[in-house]
Amino acid sequence: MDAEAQTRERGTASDDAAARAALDAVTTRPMIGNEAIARGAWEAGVRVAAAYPGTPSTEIMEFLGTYPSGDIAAQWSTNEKVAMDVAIGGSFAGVRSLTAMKHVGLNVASDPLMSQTYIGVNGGLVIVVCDDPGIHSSQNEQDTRLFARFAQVPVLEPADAQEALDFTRWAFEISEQFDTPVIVRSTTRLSHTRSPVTTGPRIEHEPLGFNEDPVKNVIIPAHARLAHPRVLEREAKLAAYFDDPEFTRWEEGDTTVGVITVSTAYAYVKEVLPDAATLKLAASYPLPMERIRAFCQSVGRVIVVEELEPVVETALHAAGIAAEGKAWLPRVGEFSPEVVREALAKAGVLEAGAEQEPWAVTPTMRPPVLCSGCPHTTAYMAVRAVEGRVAGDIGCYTLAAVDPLKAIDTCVSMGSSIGNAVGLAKAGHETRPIIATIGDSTFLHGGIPALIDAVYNEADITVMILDNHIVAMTGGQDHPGTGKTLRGEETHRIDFEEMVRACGVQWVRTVDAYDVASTYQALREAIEHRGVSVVVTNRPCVLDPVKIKGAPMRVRADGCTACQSCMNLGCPSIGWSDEMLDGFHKVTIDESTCIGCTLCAQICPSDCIRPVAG
Amino acid sequence: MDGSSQKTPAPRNVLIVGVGGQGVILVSKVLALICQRQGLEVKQSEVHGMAKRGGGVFSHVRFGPKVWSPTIPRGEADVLLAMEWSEGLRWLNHMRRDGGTFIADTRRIVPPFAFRSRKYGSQPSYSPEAPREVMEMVGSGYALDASQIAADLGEKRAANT
Repeated sequence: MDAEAQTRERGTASDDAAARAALDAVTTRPMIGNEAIARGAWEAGVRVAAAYPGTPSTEIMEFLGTYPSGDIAAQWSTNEKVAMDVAIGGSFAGVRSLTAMKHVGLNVASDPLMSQTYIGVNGGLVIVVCDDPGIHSSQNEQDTRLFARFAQVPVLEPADAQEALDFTRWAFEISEQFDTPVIVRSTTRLSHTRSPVTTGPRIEHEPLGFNEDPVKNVIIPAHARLAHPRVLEREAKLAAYFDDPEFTRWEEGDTTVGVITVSTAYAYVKEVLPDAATLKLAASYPLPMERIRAFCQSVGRVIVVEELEPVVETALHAAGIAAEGKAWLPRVGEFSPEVVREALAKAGVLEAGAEQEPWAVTPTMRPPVLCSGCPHTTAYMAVRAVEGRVAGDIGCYTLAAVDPLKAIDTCVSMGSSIGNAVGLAKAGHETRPIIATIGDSTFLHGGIPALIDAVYNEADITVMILDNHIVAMTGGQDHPGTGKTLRGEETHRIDFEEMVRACGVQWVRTVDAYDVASTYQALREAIEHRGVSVVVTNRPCVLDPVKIKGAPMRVRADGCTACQSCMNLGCPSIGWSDEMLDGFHKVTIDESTCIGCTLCAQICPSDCIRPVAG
Repeated sequence: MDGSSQKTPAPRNVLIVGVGGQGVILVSKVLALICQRQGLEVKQSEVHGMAKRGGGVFSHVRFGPKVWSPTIPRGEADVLLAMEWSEGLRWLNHMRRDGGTFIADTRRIVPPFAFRSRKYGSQPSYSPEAPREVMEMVGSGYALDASQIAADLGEKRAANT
């Protein structure tokens, strides 16, 4: 969070007019797309906002949490479906409401979305979904525009941070005017690019109050049958609405080749082909076919430049328009000026640029790793020691899948580990102990129903809940297990042992993740227990909410036997020294980064690692 | 904004790279703010998520009268500022071969992955090129032991200043 946001947070504690005026001031400053989305929602008068953290969407709710609590009820929810339901509830109550999530979060939240598209809205309902082309920090690169098409809700696609603000504000208008949820689709590149944004004041909207209309709000079969035709009518009306030159911008230019583009792909088109006639869409569903057809007729060749799936291109083909696109442009990965330039060169639209001769250098492999002193390390050393078959989950600890820990066999989606472990056990032939490893927040997000399933079906599995008291991977957000809200206020804190016992688990033990022997012992006993057993490893994340730094450790080189045991931790503070013993490097510890967790000292067979102070 | 941008001077491109915790994002935010205060359009693009987990971090800063792409096209960085030696080498081909400036801290942050081999006599897998030979090849720029300079001045963390 930047300094300006923090200043704003402090300034809004009081309701005085000066603070309000500062907040409403029209300024131009650089913002990342996510901050602009939050600002747009605030300006639109949003009153209820809920999200579950997920890269690249997380900062939207963090920024919303910096606006006055009198303006917005902003909250972290336990998962994206709950967040969607909370926002829908706000809409039912007649206030503008928003939920934000990463692309795969929409899979979780899709059930209420598919109903709500029939129900429509009372207060405006906006769903911000951030896609991750190039898979920087996700499990796939699914295209949310296909989901919008499936749910038959309009999808707006801003191309830069200013549009992120403008489109979010506008999305609420569309939602109320057309009685529909609206998706604002961002991508990693938009969410995390800083560019100038001009702000405006907040426009308040009086709550409409609950609309007592069961035929609209209670989506039973009889009502749904009435609603579906309205959804189709809405689609046609929206297509006509987007036909406006303000929304579907026709930029005159060289008509040899006309480009139809949307989202940040527009910026790449302008970078590499600035002179071509361009039709810049604001929405890729529903499409304003009249205007598109007129544009296509005015140019020699039509090329659709869109990232990921050929959503617009396919619709053009269906309308009988001879458009090109994915024949030249990739369907996978993130666009860049060079990707678009190479594709347009292949299409014969551009001269192939002279590729400069590469320098002959050897890059270093640097995959992300668990931090120095990460408490998750112990759990994965333990599952290796018992030779477990390990169903992993989503979080920092997924990094334990790579060298040197190499301790995770599967990773599917949020909360999948426990259900996957049940299936592995039910298959009946696995000889290794079956262990599910799942983080605290991931367990609350999607693990609880699966744990109940495991107990109910008497699966012989062990679940390790890796409780580091935070949503770590996304940068340190609170959740129901931290006892703090989005705004840092104290609230009820979930007790994991209590929760697990309430699900029917008979064997549960909490251990200190910095106590290697106790963790190993607990896991061994848990595995011996027939049925579901749970080990909770308990230690805060070393980065958030407080960056932990203790007395560092030091290796006594004369005692080091170069056995490499401590190297198996994968700790970034431990490396090889120049000194070798029988062909193997002795180790050394970087005291500036070591936090003194002592895990290496606990596993060192020659007892040569000691605290610097001692 | 219309499409008649071909006569607008091309933006200046600065690529800042390093590993998590070195201040890559902070440096680029400061640069972006300075450029904006000079009345230029600025785009600064980064990827979050893995930054704190020891992975490489990079940030594109582009400024000029008009900036379109948020990322610097490959081979068009005017300046490549590397706060860690091998990260500089990783991004070298993003720099202009003709006229680009390479400024790099020669500090080596060797990742755990470099020690993964357990074979007899294994050495860490880290970029073998020496700063002197790289600078001779590149021609324009500086390879500095900024961390040591900062430490000599009394504050190791000032290496990025």
